[in-house]
Amino acid sequence: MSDTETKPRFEVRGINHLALVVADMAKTREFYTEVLGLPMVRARELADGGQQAFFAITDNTIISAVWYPEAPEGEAGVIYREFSGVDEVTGQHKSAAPGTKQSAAGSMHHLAFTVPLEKQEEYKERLREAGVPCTEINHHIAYGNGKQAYHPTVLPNDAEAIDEFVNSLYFPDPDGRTFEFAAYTRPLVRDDVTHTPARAGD
Amino acid sequence: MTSQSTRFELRGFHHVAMVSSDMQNTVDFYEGVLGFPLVKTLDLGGQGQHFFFQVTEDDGVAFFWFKNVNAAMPGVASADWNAAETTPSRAKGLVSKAAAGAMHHLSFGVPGDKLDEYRDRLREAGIDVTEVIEQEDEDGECIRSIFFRDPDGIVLEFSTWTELAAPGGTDSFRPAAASEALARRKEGIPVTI
Repeated sequence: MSDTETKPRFEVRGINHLALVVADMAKTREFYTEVLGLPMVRARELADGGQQAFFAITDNTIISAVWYPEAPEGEAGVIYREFSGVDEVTGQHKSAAPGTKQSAAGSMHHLAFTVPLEKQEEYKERLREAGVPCTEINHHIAYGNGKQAYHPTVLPNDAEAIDEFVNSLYFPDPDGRTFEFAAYTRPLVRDDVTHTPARAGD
Repeated sequence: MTSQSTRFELRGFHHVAMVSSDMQNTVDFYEGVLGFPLVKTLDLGGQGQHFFFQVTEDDGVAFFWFKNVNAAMPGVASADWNAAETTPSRAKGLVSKAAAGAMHHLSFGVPGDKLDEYRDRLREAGIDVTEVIEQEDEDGECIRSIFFRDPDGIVLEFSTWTELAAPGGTDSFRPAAASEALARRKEGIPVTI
């Protein structure tokens, strides 16, 4: 963590809302209210015949889902990282084929919700019971001196080089985006920031 | 943070993961200007980076940087800030559409009485910021905000709710299916809040 203590600060109380464009408002409401169990707190008609609905995540945070009757065309790899399915052998989120471009610059790649670490197994089952394909728990590991992101199916032998920090379940939303239930497995420390930020063209 | 879900204890957004074209610019902006500490960095096998910034205890934003990345597509992969230049609205970006599956914009909650001060502070940092905008619908005024952009053109907002829940409830709302698109289409500019 760099020295930001003296820089201008804002009293940011959290993420107020995230506005997501959806393909079908009926499926969206069903997913948020029945699968995720969220209240729909406000809904409105838009001037182009579209709709917008707000689903409360916490008392401070909502998802604002917007549907347009006529929307620009887009595709996975440009507008989001598609949920690519559960690997039958490892139970993990299938890797994109080599060379597949992920989401475009300036887009949302995926969305992770904060959940209690000890609830992840139970939540995996609950999503599956609701008919949502959900991965096994992914143990994200920063591996070795280079702190490379690493998702082993078999843990390496040099246990001291392994640094697990977050556990994740992955599942799709009705539009095929990648959603995640995530929990840090330990507090993050100064040493977790080790890489020089890349520049465009690196 | 009180979870509103009856089925999962959702405490917030662990990370909204977005894509950067230049991670140094992203760090300078999110940590340097907005003050969100960079708390975790990862290398993606030499093909990219994944950095995490903390917003509050339960909320964060994260960025990927890929060697091989699709160029930004404002108006498709996100809202287009410049869409407002051809419309009479001051709500830059909010009159833009984006493709189904996209994040339109991202809003951070701030105290309502700080919006003017924060607008000035962002401007002092060289950021293009709107005036304070109040959005209302048939249920009355609901949100006051300022809008600005991150280095990749992602439309960001500082906002405060005046009235989150619709006073009349939502029972009369009938959500549209995708198949109704043709029948429902009207001439009008949708404002996405």
